[in-house]
Amino acid sequence: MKRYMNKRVLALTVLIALALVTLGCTATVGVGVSYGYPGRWGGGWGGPVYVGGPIW
Amino acid sequence: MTFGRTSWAVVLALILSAALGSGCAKNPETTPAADSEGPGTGEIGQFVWHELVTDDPAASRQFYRELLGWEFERTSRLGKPYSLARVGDRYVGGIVGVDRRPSDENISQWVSYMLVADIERATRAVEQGGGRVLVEPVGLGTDSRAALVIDSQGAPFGLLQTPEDLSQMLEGTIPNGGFLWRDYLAEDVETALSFYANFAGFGREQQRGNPDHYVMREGRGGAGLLPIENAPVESNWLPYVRVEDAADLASRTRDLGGEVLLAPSPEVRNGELAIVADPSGAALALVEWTQ
Repeated sequence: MKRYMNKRVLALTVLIALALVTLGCTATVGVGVSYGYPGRWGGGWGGPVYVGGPIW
Repeated sequence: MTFGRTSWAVVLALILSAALGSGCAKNPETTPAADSEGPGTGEIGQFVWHELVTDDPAASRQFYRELLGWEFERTSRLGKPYSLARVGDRYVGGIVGVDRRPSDENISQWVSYMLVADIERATRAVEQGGGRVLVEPVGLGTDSRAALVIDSQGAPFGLLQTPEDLSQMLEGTIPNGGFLWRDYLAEDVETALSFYANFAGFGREQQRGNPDHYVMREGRGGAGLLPIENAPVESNWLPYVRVEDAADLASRTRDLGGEVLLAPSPEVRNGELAIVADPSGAALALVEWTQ
Protein backbone atom coordinates (compact mmCIF):
# COMPACT_ATOMS: atom_id res chain seq x y z
CA MET A 1 0.00 0.00 0.00
CA LYS A 2 2.79 2.37 0.97
CA ARG A 3 4.73 1.58 -2.22
CA TYR A 4 1.54 2.14 -4.31
CA MET A 5 1.05 5.54 -2.68
CA ASN A 6 4.66 6.43 -3.38
CA LYS A 7 4.17 5.68 -7.10
CA ARG A 8 1.11 7.87 -7.20
CA VAL A 9 2.97 10.71 -5.54
CA LEU A 10 5.85 10.27 -7.97
CA ALA A 11 3.49 10.31 -10.98
CA LEU A 12 1.78 13.44 -9.68
CA THR A 13 5.11 15.13 -9.15
CA VAL A 14 6.21 14.32 -12.70
CA LEU A 15 2.96 15.79 -14.03
CA ILE A 16 3.42 18.97 -12.00
CA ALA A 17 7.01 19.19 -13.22
CA LEU A 18 5.93 18.81 -16.85
CA ALA A 19 3.27 21.49 -16.39
CA LEU A 20 5.85 23.86 -14.94
CA VAL A 21 8.22 23.20 -17.84
CA THR A 22 5.41 23.73 -20.38
CA LEU A 23 4.38 27.00 -18.72
CA GLY A 24 7.96 28.18 -18.80
CA CYS A 25 8.36 27.22 -22.46
CA THR A 26 5.27 28.94 -23.76
CA ALA A 27 4.97 32.08 -21.70
CA THR A 28 8.25 33.85 -22.32
CA VAL A 29 7.85 35.14 -25.89
CA GLY A 30 4.90 36.68 -27.67
CA VAL A 31 1.90 38.71 -26.67
CA GLY A 32 -1.12 37.77 -28.77
CA VAL A 33 -3.47 40.72 -28.29
CA SER A 34 -6.01 40.25 -31.05
CA TYR A 35 -7.96 43.40 -31.76
CA GLY A 36 -9.49 44.71 -34.97
CA TYR A 37 -8.49 48.28 -35.68
CA PRO A 38 -8.48 49.93 -39.11
CA GLY A 39 -5.23 49.53 -41.04
CA ARG A 40 -3.46 52.77 -41.82
CA TRP A 41 -2.33 52.29 -45.40
CA GLY A 42 -4.68 53.44 -48.12
CA GLY A 43 -2.55 52.24 -51.01
CA GLY A 44 0.98 52.73 -52.24
CA TRP A 45 3.24 55.43 -50.87
CA GLY A 46 2.32 58.02 -53.50
CA GLY A 47 3.64 60.90 -51.40
CA PRO A 48 6.84 62.91 -51.34
CA VAL A 49 10.18 61.13 -51.62
CA TYR A 50 10.34 58.60 -48.83
CA VAL A 51 12.98 59.56 -46.28
CA GLY A 52 12.64 56.91 -43.56
CA GLY A 53 14.82 54.02 -42.53
CA PRO A 54 17.12 52.86 -39.75
CA ILE A 55 19.71 55.21 -38.28
CA TRP A 56 21.95 53.70 -35.64
CA MET B 1 15.92 -2.37 -2.62
CA THR B 2 13.37 -0.31 -0.72
CA PHE B 3 12.97 3.41 -0.92
CA GLY B 4 12.72 5.16 2.40
CA ARG B 5 10.79 8.34 3.05
CA THR B 6 13.96 10.43 2.81
CA SER B 7 14.90 8.91 -0.54
CA TRP B 8 11.48 9.73 -1.97
CA ALA B 9 11.74 13.28 -0.75
CA VAL B 10 15.11 13.65 -2.46
CA VAL B 11 13.74 12.27 -5.77
CA LEU B 12 10.71 14.57 -5.69
CA ALA B 13 12.82 17.58 -4.84
CA LEU B 14 15.19 16.81 -7.71
CA ILE B 15 12.34 16.49 -10.23
CA LEU B 16 10.69 19.74 -9.17
CA SER B 17 13.91 21.70 -9.03
CA ALA B 18 14.85 20.40 -12.50
CA ALA B 19 11.50 21.61 -13.80
CA LEU B 20 11.75 25.01 -12.17
CA GLY B 21 15.33 25.45 -13.31
CA SER B 22 14.64 24.21 -16.83
CA GLY B 23 16.20 26.21 -19.65
CA CYS B 24 12.74 26.56 -21.17
CA ALA B 25 11.79 29.00 -18.47
CA LYS B 26 14.05 31.50 -20.21
CA ASN B 27 14.50 32.25 -23.88
CA PRO B 28 17.32 30.51 -25.67
CA GLU B 29 20.67 32.32 -25.80
CA THR B 30 19.92 34.36 -22.71
CA THR B 31 22.68 36.41 -21.16
CA PRO B 32 22.26 39.05 -18.50
CA ALA B 33 22.25 42.66 -19.69
CA ALA B 34 24.49 44.95 -17.68
CA ASP B 35 22.68 48.24 -18.06
CA SER B 36 19.11 47.19 -17.60
CA GLU B 37 16.77 50.01 -16.69
CA GLY B 38 13.53 48.08 -16.89
CA PRO B 39 12.14 45.30 -14.77
CA GLY B 40 13.70 42.78 -17.18
CA THR B 41 16.66 43.18 -19.50
CA GLY B 42 15.30 45.77 -21.91
CA GLU B 43 15.34 49.50 -21.51
CA ILE B 44 12.17 51.42 -20.89
CA GLY B 45 10.94 52.97 -24.14
CA GLN B 46 12.67 50.35 -26.25
CA PHE B 47 10.61 48.52 -28.86
CA VAL B 48 11.07 44.87 -28.07
CA TRP B 49 8.49 42.85 -29.99
CA HIS B 50 6.49 42.93 -33.23
CA GLU B 51 3.25 41.24 -33.88
CA LEU B 52 1.12 40.88 -36.98
CA VAL B 53 -2.60 41.16 -36.37
CA THR B 54 -4.15 39.67 -39.47
CA ASP B 55 -7.51 38.42 -40.71
CA ASP B 56 -5.71 35.68 -42.65
CA PRO B 57 -2.98 34.07 -40.53
CA ALA B 58 -2.51 31.13 -42.90
CA ALA B 59 -1.86 33.31 -45.96
CA SER B 60 0.38 35.59 -43.91
CA ARG B 61 2.46 32.69 -42.62
CA GLN B 62 2.88 31.36 -46.13
CA PHE B 63 3.87 34.81 -47.41
CA TYR B 64 6.51 35.47 -44.75
CA ARG B 65 7.82 31.91 -44.95
CA GLU B 66 8.42 32.30 -48.70
CA LEU B 67 9.59 35.92 -48.62
CA LEU B 68 11.70 36.12 -45.47
CA GLY B 69 12.39 32.48 -44.69
CA TRP B 70 10.60 32.60 -41.37
CA GLU B 71 9.78 29.32 -39.65
CA PHE B 72 6.75 29.10 -37.42
CA GLU B 73 5.88 27.49 -34.13
CA ARG B 74 2.16 27.07 -33.71
CA THR B 75 1.14 27.83 -30.16
CA SER B 76 -1.51 29.85 -28.33
CA ARG B 77 -1.67 33.13 -26.43
CA LEU B 78 -4.57 34.57 -24.48
CA GLY B 79 -6.71 31.63 -25.53
CA LYS B 80 -6.21 32.11 -29.27
CA PRO B 81 -3.97 30.41 -31.84
CA TYR B 82 -0.66 32.21 -32.10
CA SER B 83 2.30 31.65 -34.44
CA LEU B 84 5.79 32.45 -33.26
CA ALA B 85 8.09 33.41 -36.14
CA ARG B 86 11.70 32.30 -36.01
CA VAL B 87 14.85 32.95 -38.00
CA GLY B 88 17.16 30.09 -37.04
CA ASP B 89 16.85 29.86 -33.27
CA ARG B 90 15.95 33.52 -32.80
CA TYR B 91 12.34 34.55 -32.30
CA VAL B 92 11.55 37.58 -34.44
CA GLY B 93 7.81 38.16 -34.12
CA GLY B 94 4.36 36.72 -33.80
CA ILE B 95 1.17 36.36 -35.80
CA VAL B 96 -2.28 36.44 -34.27
CA GLY B 97 -5.62 36.25 -36.04
CA VAL B 98 -8.46 38.73 -35.83
CA ASP B 99 -11.97 38.51 -37.25
CA ARG B 100 -12.94 41.07 -39.84
CA ARG B 101 -16.59 41.96 -40.07
CA PRO B 102 -17.95 42.60 -43.57
CA SER B 103 -18.20 46.32 -42.81
CA ASP B 104 -14.60 46.60 -41.65
CA GLU B 105 -11.84 48.17 -43.63
CA ASN B 106 -8.54 46.40 -43.80
CA ILE B 107 -7.58 45.69 -40.21
CA SER B 108 -4.38 43.73 -40.73
CA GLN B 109 -1.29 45.49 -39.51
CA TRP B 110 2.00 45.09 -37.70
CA VAL B 111 1.99 46.26 -34.09
CA SER B 112 5.25 47.27 -32.38
CA TYR B 113 5.45 46.73 -28.62
CA MET B 114 7.26 49.21 -26.39
CA LEU B 115 8.71 48.16 -23.06
CA VAL B 116 7.26 50.07 -20.11
CA ALA B 117 8.02 49.91 -16.39
CA ASP B 118 4.46 50.25 -15.12
CA ILE B 119 1.76 49.38 -17.61
CA GLU B 120 -1.08 50.89 -15.60
CA ARG B 121 0.73 54.22 -15.43
CA ALA B 122 1.64 53.95 -19.11
CA THR B 123 -1.95 53.43 -20.26
CA ARG B 124 -3.08 56.41 -18.19
CA ALA B 125 -0.27 58.48 -19.72
CA VAL B 126 -1.49 57.54 -23.19
CA GLU B 127 -4.93 58.83 -22.32
CA GLN B 128 -3.55 62.00 -20.76
CA GLY B 129 -1.63 62.59 -24.00
CA GLY B 130 -4.80 62.41 -26.06
CA GLY B 131 -4.58 58.73 -27.00
CA ARG B 132 -6.88 55.86 -26.20
CA VAL B 133 -6.59 52.41 -24.68
CA LEU B 134 -7.94 49.76 -27.07
CA VAL B 135 -7.16 46.77 -24.87
CA GLU B 136 -6.60 47.30 -21.14
CA PRO B 137 -3.58 45.52 -19.64
CA VAL B 138 -3.89 41.76 -19.78
CA GLY B 139 -1.77 39.16 -18.00
CA LEU B 140 0.34 36.90 -20.18
CA GLY B 141 0.58 33.92 -17.89
CA THR B 142 3.78 34.97 -16.16
CA ASP B 143 4.44 38.32 -14.52
CA SER B 144 4.24 40.00 -17.93
CA ARG B 145 1.37 42.25 -18.98
CA ALA B 146 0.49 43.82 -22.31
CA ALA B 147 -1.91 46.45 -23.59
CA LEU B 148 -2.86 47.86 -26.97
CA VAL B 149 -3.22 51.62 -27.33
CA ILE B 150 -3.52 54.33 -29.97
CA ASP B 151 -1.71 57.63 -29.73
CA SER B 152 -3.20 61.08 -30.20
CA GLN B 153 -3.18 60.64 -34.01
CA GLY B 154 -4.74 57.19 -33.98
CA ALA B 155 -1.59 55.13 -34.55
CA PRO B 156 -1.75 51.82 -32.70
CA PHE B 157 1.16 50.44 -30.70
CA GLY B 158 1.59 47.93 -27.93
CA LEU B 159 2.84 48.25 -24.37
CA LEU B 160 4.67 45.44 -22.62
CA GLN B 161 5.67 45.21 -19.00
CA THR B 162 7.78 42.16 -18.31
CA PRO B 163 10.46 40.96 -15.92
CA GLU B 164 11.55 38.41 -18.53
CA ASP B 165 15.03 38.20 -19.96
CA LEU B 166 14.69 39.70 -23.45
CA SER B 167 18.34 39.50 -24.36
CA GLN B 168 17.69 36.83 -26.97
CA MET B 169 15.84 39.46 -28.98
CA LEU B 170 17.82 42.52 -28.00
CA GLU B 171 21.42 41.39 -28.22
CA GLY B 172 23.67 40.03 -30.93
CA THR B 173 23.51 40.66 -34.64
CA ILE B 174 20.05 41.11 -36.07
CA PRO B 175 19.74 38.43 -38.72
CA ASN B 176 18.25 38.94 -42.15
CA GLY B 177 14.55 38.52 -41.51
CA GLY B 178 14.79 40.19 -38.09
CA PHE B 179 13.24 43.51 -37.07
CA LEU B 180 15.76 46.31 -37.26
CA TRP B 181 13.99 49.63 -36.82
CA ARG B 182 10.64 51.43 -36.94
CA ASP B 183 9.53 54.85 -38.09
CA TYR B 184 6.52 56.81 -37.03
CA LEU B 185 4.79 58.13 -40.14
CA ALA B 186 3.22 61.33 -38.91
CA GLU B 187 0.33 63.32 -40.31
CA ASP B 188 1.22 66.00 -37.74
CA VAL B 189 4.93 65.99 -36.94
CA GLU B 190 4.85 68.35 -33.95
CA THR B 191 1.95 66.54 -32.31
CA ALA B 192 3.70 63.20 -32.70
CA LEU B 193 7.06 64.44 -31.42
CA SER B 194 5.34 66.00 -28.45
CA PHE B 195 3.27 62.90 -27.66
CA TYR B 196 6.24 60.53 -27.64
CA ALA B 197 8.47 63.02 -25.82
CA ASN B 198 5.94 63.23 -23.01
CA PHE B 199 5.05 59.57 -23.04
CA ALA B 200 8.42 57.90 -23.46
CA GLY B 201 11.00 60.64 -23.20
CA PHE B 202 11.80 60.40 -26.90
CA GLY B 203 13.99 63.06 -28.49
CA ARG B 204 13.78 64.88 -31.83
CA GLU B 205 17.15 64.85 -33.51
CA GLN B 206 16.85 66.00 -37.11
CA GLN B 207 19.06 64.21 -39.57
CA ARG B 208 21.79 66.21 -41.26
CA GLY B 209 21.00 66.43 -44.95
CA ASN B 210 17.59 64.95 -44.32
CA PRO B 211 15.77 67.32 -41.96
CA ASP B 212 12.40 65.67 -42.53
CA HIS B 213 13.62 62.57 -40.76
CA TYR B 214 13.92 62.66 -36.99
CA VAL B 215 15.52 60.15 -34.65
CA MET B 216 13.37 59.88 -31.55
CA ARG B 217 15.29 57.06 -29.94
CA GLU B 218 18.69 55.79 -31.04
CA GLY B 219 20.07 52.28 -31.23
CA ARG B 220 18.56 48.85 -30.86
CA GLY B 221 14.81 49.02 -30.43
CA GLY B 222 14.94 52.67 -31.48
CA ALA B 223 12.61 54.73 -33.61
CA GLY B 224 12.46 57.58 -36.09
CA LEU B 225 9.78 59.85 -37.46
CA LEU B 226 8.95 61.28 -40.85
CA PRO B 227 6.08 63.37 -42.17
CA ILE B 228 3.43 61.91 -44.47
CA GLU B 229 1.71 64.97 -45.83
CA ASN B 230 0.02 64.28 -49.15
CA ALA B 231 0.34 60.51 -48.84
CA PRO B 232 -2.59 58.03 -48.76
CA VAL B 233 -1.43 56.87 -45.35
CA GLU B 234 -2.70 57.61 -41.86
CA SER B 235 -0.35 58.10 -38.93
CA ASN B 236 1.15 54.76 -38.02
CA TRP B 237 4.21 52.88 -36.87
CA LEU B 238 6.06 51.16 -39.70
CA PRO B 239 8.51 48.42 -38.69
CA TYR B 240 11.58 47.60 -40.78
CA VAL B 241 12.93 44.11 -41.36
CA ARG B 242 16.53 43.55 -42.30
CA VAL B 243 16.93 41.84 -45.67
CA GLU B 244 19.78 41.00 -47.99
CA ASP B 245 18.25 42.25 -51.23
CA ALA B 246 15.22 44.53 -51.01
CA ALA B 247 14.79 44.77 -54.80
CA ASP B 248 14.75 41.00 -55.19
CA LEU B 249 12.16 40.58 -52.45
CA ALA B 250 10.02 43.38 -53.86
CA SER B 251 10.06 41.69 -57.25
CA ARG B 252 8.77 38.48 -55.67
CA THR B 253 6.14 40.10 -53.46
CA ARG B 254 3.30 40.17 -55.99
CA ASP B 255 3.77 36.53 -56.98
CA LEU B 256 3.45 35.63 -53.30
CA GLY B 257 0.11 37.41 -53.00
CA GLY B 258 1.39 40.67 -51.55
CA GLU B 259 1.64 44.19 -52.90
CA VAL B 260 4.54 46.59 -53.35
CA LEU B 261 3.65 49.90 -51.69
CA LEU B 262 6.99 51.56 -52.35
CA ALA B 263 9.25 50.01 -54.96
CA PRO B 264 13.01 50.33 -54.51
CA SER B 265 14.40 53.35 -56.33
CA PRO B 266 17.83 55.02 -56.46
CA GLU B 267 16.40 58.14 -54.76
CA VAL B 268 15.41 56.23 -51.64
CA ARG B 269 18.37 54.79 -49.74
CA ASN B 270 20.10 53.82 -52.98
CA GLY B 271 17.41 51.32 -53.85
CA GLU B 272 17.95 49.38 -50.64
CA LEU B 273 14.47 49.91 -49.22
CA ALA B 274 11.03 48.65 -50.20
CA ILE B 275 7.67 48.80 -48.48
CA VAL B 276 5.37 45.88 -49.10
CA ALA B 277 1.98 44.72 -47.92
CA ASP B 278 1.35 41.07 -47.15
CA PRO B 279 -1.70 39.26 -48.58
CA SER B 280 -3.84 40.52 -45.70
CA GLY B 281 -2.78 44.14 -46.31
CA ALA B 282 -0.31 44.71 -43.45
CA ALA B 283 2.56 47.04 -44.40
CA LEU B 284 6.19 46.25 -43.66
CA ALA B 285 9.43 47.90 -44.75
CA LEU B 286 12.29 45.79 -46.04
CA VAL B 287 15.71 47.35 -45.75
CA GLU B 288 19.26 46.31 -46.43
CA TRP B 289 21.63 46.95 -43.58
CA THR B 290 25.36 46.31 -43.64
CA GLN B 291 26.63 48.29 -40.65
